[in-house]
Amino acid sequence: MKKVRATGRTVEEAVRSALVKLGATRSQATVQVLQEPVKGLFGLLGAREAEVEVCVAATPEETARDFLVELLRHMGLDASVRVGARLDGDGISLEILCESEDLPVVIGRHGSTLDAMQYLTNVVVNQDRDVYIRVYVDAGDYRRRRQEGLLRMADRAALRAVRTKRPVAMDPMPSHDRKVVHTYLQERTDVTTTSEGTDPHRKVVVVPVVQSGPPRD
Amino acid sequence: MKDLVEFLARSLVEHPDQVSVTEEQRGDTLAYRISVHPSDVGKVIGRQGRIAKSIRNIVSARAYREKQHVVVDIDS
Repeated sequence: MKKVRATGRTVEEAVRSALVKLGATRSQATVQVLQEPVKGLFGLLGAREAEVEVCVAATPEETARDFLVELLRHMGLDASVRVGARLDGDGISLEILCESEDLPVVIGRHGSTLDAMQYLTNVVVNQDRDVYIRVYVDAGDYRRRRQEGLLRMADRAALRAVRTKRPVAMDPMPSHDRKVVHTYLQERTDVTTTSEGTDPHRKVVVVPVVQSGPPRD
Repeated sequence: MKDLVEFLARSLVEHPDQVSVTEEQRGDTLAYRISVHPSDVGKVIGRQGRIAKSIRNIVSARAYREKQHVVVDIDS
């Protein structure tokens, strides 16, 4: 929520100058008139300008960016946040910009810190909102690079499973990463996939359709 | 470090003025305890402790950078 006070010869004029200061449009704002204009004697004596207070609710992008900027500052990181394009539906995306030596701290193991920051930003943005807005947070192009890495790892595991005719367990990974692998390998007809173990050690197991030897217990 | 824990807790609750965080040195570990208004406990823990987990992850990220060991508890 941003608030600004402004004066003008008429209420309309005061509102307009407040909106200019806020960089908002009339429909986004709520206006409270603090002082109606008074003409005064001969337009001079006792004349008073109109004074208004104009508020605009913060956009989800602003809420998200403000939260992330403060969070990164409290983490002792010298970073800034760039608001990206609106995504399909009601999603917004943000990108953390920082020194490359700080990227491992921002991203964390398998993106866990990035995921934690993204999750809390989602919570903060949707605190008092009726429609849920999904917030995506990225840093150093991690999400795209991770996606490509996952597909490569999936290909390798599938290749090994088919060649050895034995199930191949992949490294443990978070649920959305496992989903990427399951979905990707779904297209193949020579392997099927399942998951084994409990988080945070749950992993994808790639099972070849043609198996050799006694089945695993 | 304490400011980070306080900032996270205050950002998530409905009564930010009732958030308090205590700091305690336990051996080589720094222990933080978050107290919030009774109706806000769920807001800092979250479903399946997901919010608490995220708070711990972020605090640990900073701790790692400062080569410290940190735990975060929530009063309930």
